[in-house]
Amino acid sequence: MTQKQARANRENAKKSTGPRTRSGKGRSSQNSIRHGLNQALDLEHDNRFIVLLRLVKGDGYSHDEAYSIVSAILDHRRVMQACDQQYHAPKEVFGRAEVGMIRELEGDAELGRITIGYNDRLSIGRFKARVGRINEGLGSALVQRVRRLGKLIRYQRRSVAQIHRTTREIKNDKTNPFISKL
Amino acid sequence: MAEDKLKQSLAILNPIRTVRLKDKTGNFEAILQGLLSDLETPNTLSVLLCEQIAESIFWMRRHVEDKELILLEATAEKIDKAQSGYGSDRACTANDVKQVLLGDEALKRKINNKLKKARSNTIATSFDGCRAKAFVSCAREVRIADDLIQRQMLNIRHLQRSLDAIDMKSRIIRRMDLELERVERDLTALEHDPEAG
Repeated sequence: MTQKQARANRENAKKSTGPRTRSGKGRSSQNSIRHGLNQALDLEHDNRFIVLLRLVKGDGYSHDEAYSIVSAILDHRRVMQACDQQYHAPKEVFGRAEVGMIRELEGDAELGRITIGYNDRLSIGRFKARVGRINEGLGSALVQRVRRLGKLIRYQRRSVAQIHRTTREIKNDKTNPFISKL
Repeated sequence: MAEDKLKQSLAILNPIRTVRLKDKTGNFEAILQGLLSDLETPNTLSVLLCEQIAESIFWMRRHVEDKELILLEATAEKIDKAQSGYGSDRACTANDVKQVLLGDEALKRKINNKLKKARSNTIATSFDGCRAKAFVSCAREVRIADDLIQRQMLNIRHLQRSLDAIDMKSRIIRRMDLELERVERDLTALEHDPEAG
């Protein structure tokens, strides 16, 4: 897509009145969600949960035990999937489109199609320097990745603690007088 | 014997796999298979927990690699900045820094000479000096990487305890079954005891 097309798209998007269909509204309602790890799991509509619940119950666990441990494992899966997404997310770059537009203008100026005045050149130089400083602050792709993953540590702590708590409760069943007599 | 256990565990795990990583190295599978072959009594829960433990080990390796790479990249960037005044053109890469740290004295001398000759060098005049400055500049990211490694260690420990608890439960159930069998056997033995009547 050329810069001109991108500009036209942006202008057209400003005229938009937003999503109309139910599915479109549903999709746009998720726009501000970053990872959704604070939301409750929707287990009733999760086929994977239903299958795992059946299998774990088949191994001799009660419904409540199976329910709590499978939901804890699936919650942990959600957190670790978010980590994997963050690990493979592209590098964040500030002002990519603007710098592209400036390059295009400079190219046109070199070919003699337009003229860039002295003050405009100064402004462009200042803007480029500012973008450079901001991008330096954002760090390399590796540094960005580590920072993003660092934000998910507390969710991992919570989900693993939940698995541990659930299994400990199952283990405590052995204090049941019937079992302990054996 | 271990291969049979592994086959048995994989037969349970494969239809219900929960971990899907973009791993081309095959490290995750190797870790997982190693763990599964050690399982005494594989069942749905134990293989699921093994999968989570394998993932945590895999993530820990990733974080260790990242931490190492952060330090190497930061050192390379400092050397570049010291040599040219800008960090944009990469004359020194993370791989070069790694070679020096692994004992390439010739490369270290070459970098040191370039640093000494560099004009407007305000960072450091030696490889070790640049390395020290790099450690300071990326201290925050290294700390985060350390936290991530520590988290994976704790994850592994918690999941391991969970696996022990699950295994304990299955051992108790097996013990109960054996006890019930023994009681039934004793009962039939009593019923058929000729001297009892």
